[in-house]
Amino acid sequence: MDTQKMLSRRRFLQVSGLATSAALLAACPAPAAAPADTGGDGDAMMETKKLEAWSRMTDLAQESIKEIIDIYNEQNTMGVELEFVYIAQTQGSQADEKLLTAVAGGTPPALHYADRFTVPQFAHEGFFTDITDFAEAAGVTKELYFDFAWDETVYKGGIYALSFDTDTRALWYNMDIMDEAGVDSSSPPTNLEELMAVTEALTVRDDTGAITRYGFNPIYDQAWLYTWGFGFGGSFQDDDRRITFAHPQNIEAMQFVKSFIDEIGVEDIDAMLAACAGGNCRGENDYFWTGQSAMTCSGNWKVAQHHRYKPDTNYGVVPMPGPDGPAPGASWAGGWSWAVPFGYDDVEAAFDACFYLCGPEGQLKYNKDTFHIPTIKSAAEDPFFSEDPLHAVFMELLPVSHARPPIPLGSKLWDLQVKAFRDEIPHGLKTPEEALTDIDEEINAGLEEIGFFS
Amino acid sequence: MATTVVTEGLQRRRLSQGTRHTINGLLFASPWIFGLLAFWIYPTLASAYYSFTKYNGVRDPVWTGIANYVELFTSDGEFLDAVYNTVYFAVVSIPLAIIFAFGLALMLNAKIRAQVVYRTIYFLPTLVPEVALALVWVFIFTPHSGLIAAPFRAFGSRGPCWLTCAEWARPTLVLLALWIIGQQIILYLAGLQDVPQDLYDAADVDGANFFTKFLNVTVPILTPVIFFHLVTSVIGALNFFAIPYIMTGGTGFPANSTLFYSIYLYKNAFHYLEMGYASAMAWLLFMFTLFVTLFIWRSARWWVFYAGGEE
Repeated sequence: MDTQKMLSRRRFLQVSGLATSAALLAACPAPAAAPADTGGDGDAMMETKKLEAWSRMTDLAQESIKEIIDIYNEQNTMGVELEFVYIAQTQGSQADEKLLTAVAGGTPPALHYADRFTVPQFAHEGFFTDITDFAEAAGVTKELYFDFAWDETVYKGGIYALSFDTDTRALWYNMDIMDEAGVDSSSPPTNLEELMAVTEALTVRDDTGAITRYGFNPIYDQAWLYTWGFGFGGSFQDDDRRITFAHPQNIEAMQFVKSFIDEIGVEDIDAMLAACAGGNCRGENDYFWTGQSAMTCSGNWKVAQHHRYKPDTNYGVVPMPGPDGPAPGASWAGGWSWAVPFGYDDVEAAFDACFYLCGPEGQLKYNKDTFHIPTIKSAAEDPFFSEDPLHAVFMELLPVSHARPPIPLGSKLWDLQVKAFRDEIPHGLKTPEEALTDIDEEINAGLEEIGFFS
Repeated sequence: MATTVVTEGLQRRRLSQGTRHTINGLLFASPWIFGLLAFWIYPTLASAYYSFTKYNGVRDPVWTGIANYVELFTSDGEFLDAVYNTVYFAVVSIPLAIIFAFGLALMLNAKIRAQVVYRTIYFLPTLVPEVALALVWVFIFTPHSGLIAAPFRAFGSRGPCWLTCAEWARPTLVLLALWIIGQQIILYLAGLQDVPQDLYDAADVDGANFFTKFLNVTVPILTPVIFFHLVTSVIGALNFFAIPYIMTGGTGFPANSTLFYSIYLYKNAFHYLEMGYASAMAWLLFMFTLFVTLFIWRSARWWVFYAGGEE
């Protein structure tokens, strides 16, 4: 009983109060960029403010961006230190719950690495900061960038991100496999008929008929609905900015893809995609690098992977084959950007870092390290990007490449087109016309609802 | 100073010992109470409010009444697919899990050599994190080239299409869910060791065979364990997320057959920034789970037997 009295409320409150005070003191952050002691050497005593740059980059890209950040930290005059922080992100729709919750909670990072086609959506939803004033003061103008890259970073007249890199798409083929299979590697397929014939010639099946080496998978890697649609001369947005997936040429393209899949066997196509679920075919595990696929539609970043993973194997790159011959226009340019998330308190410092990463110096280093293409026109003219014969093909495709429609429902649209392209059409759940019309109806209704067309 | 002491003394006298203990108890529990209010009650109530709004997580919510609920039931085909898949999974996987866990526990309860080793082996899968498990399953269940296809190949067959066709996708996930029943086996084992030997002896005297003893002694004594397993499994099955999300990338392919309720809820919240819509889904799931749990709870009086005699 006495012992209980010893644990009186007063004693408990005293101890709790002490513990809480200690915890609060410990949790108190030092003031950001606190002014130095006036009596000492100002620069030496200045406390460095830490900025975080959140990104999903791994492997080569992460190595490069960390080096760029180190250079920025050495030379920036803002008294800040930028730090790379890896965050996981959903592939495809690029959903990013960590960023969303951080912004909602009022603790966003200084910079966020954003797939450029999602910028209008995040801008519309209020997750990115309008950096127009800072960009204009720094001399950022539309003329410096490729049009498609600029358009994706601008929403309702405001700049919400600075573009970082771009890419194009073409047909990669493994020349060693072609030679081994008796297919002339010096004359890769130029039209769809040849593509189907070479695919068949390079495909290897086991006793059960299951494919053990794919000639080509028409819905793997970068062979997306966009790629085939553009290759057939289709378009995905009209002059009124309405989505037009059910464009006649897109429907024709999907009819071809369906027949191509049926020719190969939808079970085998599915088996390859299933094996790659959960990111199992990233990097060096890609079917193309493991030799399980002889051809693939992919981008210029594969040049860097080729140098790292398979330097001794011979590969070739040509524009995607089209219905009547080579279809360089099948290529579309994607790419990423850096944005300042909404609610970050020191936009000036964040923009300074963003401007360096996305400026000529940052872009050149990153794009050279990883074999992407700068979005700053003058930087893209650097002879380096055409020195590698494989990368030179991608550079030639840049002027004729298309871009995905920049709309504020980018993630929804991406999910819907993946569903149509990899599920509904291949499995015959819908005809190409039905599947594509459904996309248009759902997205245009959504855009109408948020006043996108007004 | 003297006045303060007198006043405190009077107050202390006025408070009964029980009241003082209550206050002390509340003070000690206050950090937890604060946590409950701030991180559970407030978000739950806020989510109820958001379910009647259009809200993206950042901008101010806009009141839309019951529009989210109406849309869910009238014009969202994917929602109905998700409900069907989730209910299918619960209805098929839970009875199977109970049968398998109970059956394996019976076998592991047998007094055989290396009993502990067998028990450990059956518990091991439970220790592997779901994410790692799902990634390994992707390799194993890949049609044609996966490990599970090897015996079929030996017979010149391609084997089932597993997760790549709608007919097999749901049963495959049920099969995979049965892999992680180690904890339930332990519960049944504990229950089995609690069955009084004298009941078996009495049954022996009455000439009961193995099956009669199993049905009339073992099962009734283990009904509280079955009850616990059933309730927790229902809650778990209705929230099935990680494994299908990783194995299919959350796409729901093929033909929405792997689109589970929690996956669709997550997609609405974080892919499409429809937090209000997702909140409405969360509340429907909560109400449904509550209803099913209460139903099982009420039904317990008819089939759950407590050896102590209560209920």
